[in-house]
Amino acid sequence: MRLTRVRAADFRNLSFADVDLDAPRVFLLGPNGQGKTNLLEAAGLVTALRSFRVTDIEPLVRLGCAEARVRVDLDLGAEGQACVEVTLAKGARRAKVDGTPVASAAELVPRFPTVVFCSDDLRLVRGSPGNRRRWLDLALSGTDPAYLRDLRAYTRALESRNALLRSGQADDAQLEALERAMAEPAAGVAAARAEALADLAPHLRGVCDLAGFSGLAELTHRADTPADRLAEAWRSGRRLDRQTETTRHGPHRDDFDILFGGRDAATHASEGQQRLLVLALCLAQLRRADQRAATPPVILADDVLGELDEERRRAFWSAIGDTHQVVATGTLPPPEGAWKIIEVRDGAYHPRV
Amino acid sequence: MTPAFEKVRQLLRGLPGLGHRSAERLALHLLVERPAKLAPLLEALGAATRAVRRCERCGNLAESPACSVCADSRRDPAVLCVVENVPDLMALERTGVFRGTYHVLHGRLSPINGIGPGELNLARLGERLATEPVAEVVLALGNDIEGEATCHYIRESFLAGRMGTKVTRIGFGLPSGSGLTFADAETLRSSLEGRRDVGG
Repeated sequence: MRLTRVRAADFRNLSFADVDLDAPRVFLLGPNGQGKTNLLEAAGLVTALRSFRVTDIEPLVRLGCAEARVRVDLDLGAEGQACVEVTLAKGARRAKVDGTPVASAAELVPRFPTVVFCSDDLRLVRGSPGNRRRWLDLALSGTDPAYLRDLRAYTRALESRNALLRSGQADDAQLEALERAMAEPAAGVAAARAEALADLAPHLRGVCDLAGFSGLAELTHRADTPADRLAEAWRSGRRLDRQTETTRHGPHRDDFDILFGGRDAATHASEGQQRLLVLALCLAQLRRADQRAATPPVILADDVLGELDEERRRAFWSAIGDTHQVVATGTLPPPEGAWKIIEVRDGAYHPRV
Repeated sequence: MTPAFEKVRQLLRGLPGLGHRSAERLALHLLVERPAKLAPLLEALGAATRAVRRCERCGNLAESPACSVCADSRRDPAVLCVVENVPDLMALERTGVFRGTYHVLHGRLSPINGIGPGELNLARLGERLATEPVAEVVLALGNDIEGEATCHYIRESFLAGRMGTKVTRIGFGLPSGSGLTFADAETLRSSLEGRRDVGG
């Protein structure tokens, strides 16, 4: 799959943008705050109508506008061309593929896969459990439609339960009803996360071998509460949940450990090792996505190499290979190679000739 | 725009399904383009406001204490179908297949929107289950989280331990006349879960 053209209207601070991306490797180059990431974010909506930066719709719609519109043209190789139109308005995400409305975002996932590498990813190692969950959610939403569906249902149910707890009218019968509705998506979310981490582990070891720190990195899922004990945890936690006005147990409290040489990477790996570990995780994520997707996912890499030296940057891009289209952003020009470079300044996109 | 026109537009804008432009179009249509339509509309609205009320038994729209379904002696009181709102009831009625009676909740449990059991037509459902010869309760609520939770609540609060009453949920699956290829994964999953034995 290849993105050939992205148009965005009233998206973030872009009133209008129309950018030709039709090349195997595209690099959006420019200082920070000029609109590089906004365009990448708009392109990433094709996979699951989700932004890789925020969960709410509101920040995506330009201030004072009712809706944001994004239109992405794609080249699907043997299957021809497709056009995905996304409309984001307060509380609603809608999409059309070649003019036909799409019933649910999960439908898009297998058709238009993308993999996002994000500059925030260093928080994967050092950040809070929330950073790791978000990374895993995004990685899985891009490959598993069932996960996306379960995650949405669980999140909605969790918001309902928390609203009920805050209302001060959370009687047992209503809590019980919600907890029953939550149980199935919660189990789905937990199982998919554990499976994905188990899938990622060998890829991560493979990549680490390549980078020269062999066999050192491990991933383990740490569920807040095992799925088969969730119902009981929710039931017995109701009294305290009412006091704290929040649901204290469930997959929304899960975490996973990144171990380096058998110990927590956040405290036992050097800063340089942590950076490389994050890149290794990105590559592992890509290899897993490759195995699951019918068509090679497009890589959206948001300033992922930061201040890495020239040699390491070159090694990273060569590890990705040339089966995927890459759309990357950065403040420094990419290492030599066949990049289509687009200079970004003040929300305007100028191809370098 | 005149202040009076603006007021009408604002009030129309507050109605469900009407955005800024459609509200303006309606206001213009009724006040300027076709003012002759206004008097009959106002009259009908006034008459309906006086006449239409909730059926005392099931919550459906009615112009007498009992709605047309409840007043129909051919309807089977042993089968009770619980629906979320009046449009859902009307949709089921249009199929002409269901011959039992209904119970309209006028909403579903939605803590996010501040809708609890007290806001729904549930107390009357309890009374009906206690006094009417109901052999089957059909829960015809949506299959999203709030629909699920409402079904669980009704089962636990009104039907738990009730011997001899069958509780069913409507099936969720493929639209009629369509194949499997174009169905989304969620619908296919529901239809697989709701498969039934056809013998053989």
